[in-house]
Amino acid sequence: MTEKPPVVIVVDDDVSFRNFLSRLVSTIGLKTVPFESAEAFLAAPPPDSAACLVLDVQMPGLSGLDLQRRVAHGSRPLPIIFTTGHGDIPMTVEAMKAGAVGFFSKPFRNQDMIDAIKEGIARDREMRQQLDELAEIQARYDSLTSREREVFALVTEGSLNKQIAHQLGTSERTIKAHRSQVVLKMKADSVADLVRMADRLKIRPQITQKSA
Amino acid sequence: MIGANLQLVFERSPDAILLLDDGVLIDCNQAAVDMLRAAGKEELLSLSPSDLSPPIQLDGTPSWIRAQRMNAVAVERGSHRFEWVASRRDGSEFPVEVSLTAIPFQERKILYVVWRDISRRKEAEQELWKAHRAEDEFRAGQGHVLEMIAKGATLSDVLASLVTLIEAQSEGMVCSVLQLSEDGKHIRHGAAPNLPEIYVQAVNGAPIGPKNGSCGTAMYRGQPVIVTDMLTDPLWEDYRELAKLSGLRACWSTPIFTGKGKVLGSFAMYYRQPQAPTGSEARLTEVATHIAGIAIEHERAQNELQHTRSELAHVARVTTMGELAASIAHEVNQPLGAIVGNADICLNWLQQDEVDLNQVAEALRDIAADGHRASQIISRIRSLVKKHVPEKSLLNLSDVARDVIGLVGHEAQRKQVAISSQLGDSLPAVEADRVQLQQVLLNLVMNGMEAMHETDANKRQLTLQTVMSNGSVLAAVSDRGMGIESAKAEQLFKPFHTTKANGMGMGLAISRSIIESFGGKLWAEANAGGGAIFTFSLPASSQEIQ
Repeated sequence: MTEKPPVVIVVDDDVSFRNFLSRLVSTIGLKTVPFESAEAFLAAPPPDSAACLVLDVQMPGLSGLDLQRRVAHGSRPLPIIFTTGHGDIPMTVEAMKAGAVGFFSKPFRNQDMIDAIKEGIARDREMRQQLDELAEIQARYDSLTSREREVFALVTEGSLNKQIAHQLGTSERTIKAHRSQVVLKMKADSVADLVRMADRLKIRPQITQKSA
Repeated sequence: MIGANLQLVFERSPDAILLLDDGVLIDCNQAAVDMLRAAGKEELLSLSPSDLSPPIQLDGTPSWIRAQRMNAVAVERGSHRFEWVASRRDGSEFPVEVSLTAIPFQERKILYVVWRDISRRKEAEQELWKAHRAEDEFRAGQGHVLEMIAKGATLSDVLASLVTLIEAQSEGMVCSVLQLSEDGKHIRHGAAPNLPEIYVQAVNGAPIGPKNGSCGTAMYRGQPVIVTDMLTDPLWEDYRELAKLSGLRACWSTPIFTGKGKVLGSFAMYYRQPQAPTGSEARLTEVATHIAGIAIEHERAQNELQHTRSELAHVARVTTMGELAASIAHEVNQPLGAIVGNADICLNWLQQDEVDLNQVAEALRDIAADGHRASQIISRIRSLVKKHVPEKSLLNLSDVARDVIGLVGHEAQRKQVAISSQLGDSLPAVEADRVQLQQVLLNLVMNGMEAMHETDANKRQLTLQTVMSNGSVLAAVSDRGMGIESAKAEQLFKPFHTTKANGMGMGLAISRSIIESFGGKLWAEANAGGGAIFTFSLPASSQEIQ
């Protein structure tokens, strides 16, 4: 599967600055999608490739910091790089705390911006990859029977087959069969791999313990 | 004995005595002959009484009608006294006081007529009346000059009127007022409408000193200097030729002082013949120096006030700019950011083996455009920050409002205030200083935005309006802030009144003094539905902007 080319989304009310960023981004072979306001950006469909946002902090209407909050809580979080004509320290701190990749006062060094954009896209790519992986693992998990899920939880918790059998009130053999089914369905290479998946899925053994 | 004495009294009386019997002259004394310049008693007695008066009296009645009336009164009352115009034999007329006494004598009407020549008295009365009138006119003239000062006429107009007034009081006199320069060392022209131009120019800028003509010396000494002949007086040694060229001979100069005794200038009287001053001239000089002193001092105080006002306005403008600093930095950095970035891209391109010149050109065009934009922002701010002498010009108030909206656009964004405007098209011009009007509007807009600090962000609405109303052009700034109480609205304009934590409390006081200096008014009122409205009006000019 070939990856779609990443894009840089620019939201700035200053047309000459948007033009400059497009030019800069094109020098590293990327495309920009420009918006003149936060509202216009929100109205557009989210990107379906790796992307990062370059946002002016102060814009008429919804400000950059407001948009950062919306994006963070939306369905498609994106790495954000802020630019400002005149930023103050509290503003910078707020933006960075909320996870901004960078905060640039105009004028800035092009290379710094390019580095930030590259990092932003890399972060997004990784995030997208992880999300894809998670979705895949989730799908595999969804294919497990409820008994297999119980076994999955207990195995990844580190219980031995004997303990699990005892806990679930069945034979060790039956557990072994379930266990190989789990490994097969989850396409796991090892128990360690299963543990990692459980972590990603935030799976914890359910308290269906039988009293001894 | 008594008869002989009476005859003597009759003959020697200094008053003319005539005796009439039924309208016929029957006797007269020598004084009558002399008064009427008749050849002798015989000639006089041969005349009819009507020959002794002009045909018409001063009140317009024919002499014979008036004579009959007077006679009737005398007959009725026994005697009558009145003024009359008589004529001598040579036809010349003169005023007399007549006393008529009717003497009943054997059924006949004898009239005893005494004429007293009152020419001298009349002349004296006339003189006195003239003197009174001249005095009244002179006083009225002084009043007029003082009124000019009060109404703010220019100093040169005031002094020229003063000089003309003084000159009118004495035949052949020419006057001048000179000022002492601020450094106290040189003569500056004041007013001398009737001195030769060459003389005026030579004196303007000349130094004062112990031997510098009448005025230069008077200012130097702080005492009057009386030169009765400029062609011989040693004080005029260096200026002798000038005096000759200008045809001036006598020059008496008196220093003009401030109320505190500092020399402001001098007042001088010139004559074309050598002469010395009299009492009346000394009095005129006193009046002239007094009024000129008031005029010059008033002018200097006004200039100082103007200067202080414009300094204060400048400080206020710079303070406002300080409040706008963050927004200004943002606005300038916006184009600078693009310029620096684009230039950097160009440099990178130029270091590559293959250069796409079209691309480079496009980037350079953007750089140039942003450079212009940055410079416009800076010049807009510079015009507000630099010191300047206020200058009246014809302005469109809507244009000034647009300047200000452009200036605060970003600040409004920062404060999340929505600015809307309803600016009248084709408003008449107003006469004012552009920078100072920008300052007033800027101050009102900044105050309005500040006032909405605690208003919900979505209700922070500021409106600028310009309209024409009753011969004035109005500009109004309305906000949705905390509002004002109508009763306390006036207090806002007092100096050092402030509701801001960092405010100087001078903004509105200065704004009002600026608007008033252009003949306008500035006031505040509550905005229906919350907030305040600050409005100023300026008189609409009849002239059009070129």
